[in-house]
Amino acid sequence: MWNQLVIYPFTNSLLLLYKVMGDSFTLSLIILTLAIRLLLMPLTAKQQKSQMKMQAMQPDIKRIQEKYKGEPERMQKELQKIGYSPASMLAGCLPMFIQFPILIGMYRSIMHAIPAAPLQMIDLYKAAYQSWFPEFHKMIPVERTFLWMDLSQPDRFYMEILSGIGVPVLPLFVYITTVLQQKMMTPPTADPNDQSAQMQRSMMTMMPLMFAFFALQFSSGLSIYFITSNIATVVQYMIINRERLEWSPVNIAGVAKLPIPTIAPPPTTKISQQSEQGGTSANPTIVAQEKMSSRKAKRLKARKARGGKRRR
Amino acid sequence: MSGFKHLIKHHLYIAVFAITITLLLVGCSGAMPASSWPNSIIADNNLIIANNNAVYAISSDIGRLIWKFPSEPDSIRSQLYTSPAHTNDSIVVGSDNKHAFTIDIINGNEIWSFDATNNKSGTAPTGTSASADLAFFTSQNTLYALQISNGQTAWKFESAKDLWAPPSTNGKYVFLPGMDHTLTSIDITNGSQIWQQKFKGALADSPTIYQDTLYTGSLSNSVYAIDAANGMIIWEYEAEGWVWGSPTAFNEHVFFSDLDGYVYALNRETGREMWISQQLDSASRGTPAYSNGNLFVTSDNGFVYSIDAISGNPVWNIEIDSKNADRLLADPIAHNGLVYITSMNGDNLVYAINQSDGVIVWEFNPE
Repeated sequence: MWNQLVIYPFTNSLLLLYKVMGDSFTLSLIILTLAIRLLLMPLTAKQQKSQMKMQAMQPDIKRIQEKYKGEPERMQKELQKIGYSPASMLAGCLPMFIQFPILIGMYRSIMHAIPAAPLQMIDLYKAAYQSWFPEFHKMIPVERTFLWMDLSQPDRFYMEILSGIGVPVLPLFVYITTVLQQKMMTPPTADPNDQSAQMQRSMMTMMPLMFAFFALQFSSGLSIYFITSNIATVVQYMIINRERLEWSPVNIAGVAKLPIPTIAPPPTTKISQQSEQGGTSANPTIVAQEKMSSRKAKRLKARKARGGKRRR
Repeated sequence: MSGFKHLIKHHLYIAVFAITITLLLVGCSGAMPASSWPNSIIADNNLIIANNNAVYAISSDIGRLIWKFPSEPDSIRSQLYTSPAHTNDSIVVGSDNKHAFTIDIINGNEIWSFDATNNKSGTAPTGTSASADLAFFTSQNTLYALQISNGQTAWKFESAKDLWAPPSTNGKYVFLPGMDHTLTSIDITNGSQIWQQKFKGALADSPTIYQDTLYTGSLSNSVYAIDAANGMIIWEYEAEGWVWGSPTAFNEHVFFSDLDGYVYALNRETGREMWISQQLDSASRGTPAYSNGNLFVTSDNGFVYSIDAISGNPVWNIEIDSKNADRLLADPIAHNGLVYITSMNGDNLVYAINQSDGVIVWEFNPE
């Protein structure tokens, strides 16, 4: 069932793209990864938005929790007022969990599509939709080398001066792109001691290490999937949050400082007070968006007044 | 202090999460999968089986363990998937870790080992075969001809793509099948190429030599008869599926099976079809074993079939260990009234089956 629903369609898509891309398995992997990202875009965008929303709410949540420490019902009501609901927050995490079956499916499909061993070749024969490939035998063996890499093996780059020591180039790239993605998607918090900030710090340390470990252990085809997927996520996040994009130097694992795009946190303090006083909107993110929309409207109005031309 | 505790707690959560995902990847997707199946040969009336972690010699009559190599598996003496080769008093095996070993046939002690890693990590399917003086070992795209006496390289031959099967030899020439769709004839004395023939599909098993003709299947559904002297194709036959295993040539016939689960008999000289069997339950990869007018073939889903070699009619079939033993992909071996089946996933590694009625006579489990 799992094979028929996930593995075989992925494997055949990879093979089809391989054929279309002039026998380049790397290109076919990149294109399939981007296609998957595109399909998941509505879900991941929702996750990213929910993450931002949660981030913006943190000071309010903390304040309400402190204020109504002994009154759980009241606290619940106040939290609901500002738009906090644990269920919807959990739903925001759903896309992350959907990605894991895809990750596992992708890994198996890579192993199926570029068989480096007899057993995998027999499995490919079972998996291939031969009606899609009238001259399937001509594609066998599928070209699995790219530059120094064997896409079916964990990546190691050998240089003569390092006699026998392989440098894991792709795992390093996986680590760097995961750090970039994590840094970018985690806006700075007002209170570094608060629980979610600590959780974020944990995630930022562990997730890149975890993915780098996967890349070290598994085939380099999977590393290409990780790298492409990370870059696509960063680009998607930049597009969604282009209004609040800032370039600031960020320390990567204490090794180098790189200017990376980060998202400025939404203004919260004033809005929180406003909501307490019965302002127009209880949700700071919504207020911030409203504020942004009004700024946009003003800009549009001014542009209209100038005859639709941008001032130079 | 409490902040630190929180941090530790969260690291732990994520570590548990990471371990779970790793296990899922490894478990669900076979991250470090077995690359092949156990293979066996008969040598000096013993059955020699090469498996993932060891090579076993067991008596062919009752299945008693005689020796095991290595006594404890290590990082290079593992993944011993190649079909063992027998020459003089030694057994040659290869590991997917790119090493070849010769083992004393009497006691299972290592005589010499050969390292083809070139200081690079990674695995690759290997193949071994042997002549009187040379052991042939394929790893990645290179064929090594090694002196049986000391393991020194006599010569080597490089192919355009990977070599998954060892060459066959008639003592004068070596016939090397390649995944680059070629079959190459090489001079056994110096490793120089004599001729090379290109085919539609990749060749994943050694060609069968019968008199002066080579018979080979290919991963393009075709089976070929080739003149060993000049590489000219004598005839070509199109099967239903990929023909992976080497054909069996006997008297006037050539027998083979395909990955669509059919067994075929052709006229050896003309390639004319004599019969096609009923479709088996699943793919049949191995070379059919022939004995006393019957063929023995195995299937991927764990069945063993006996087929009448003259008519192609079924004689008997049994399912080996229906619980676990799917994937019977190795060549069955017929010897002294028994058929030996090696299993990848079964409760037992070897099953000895009566040729006449399909009853299991003994089983061998290395555990």
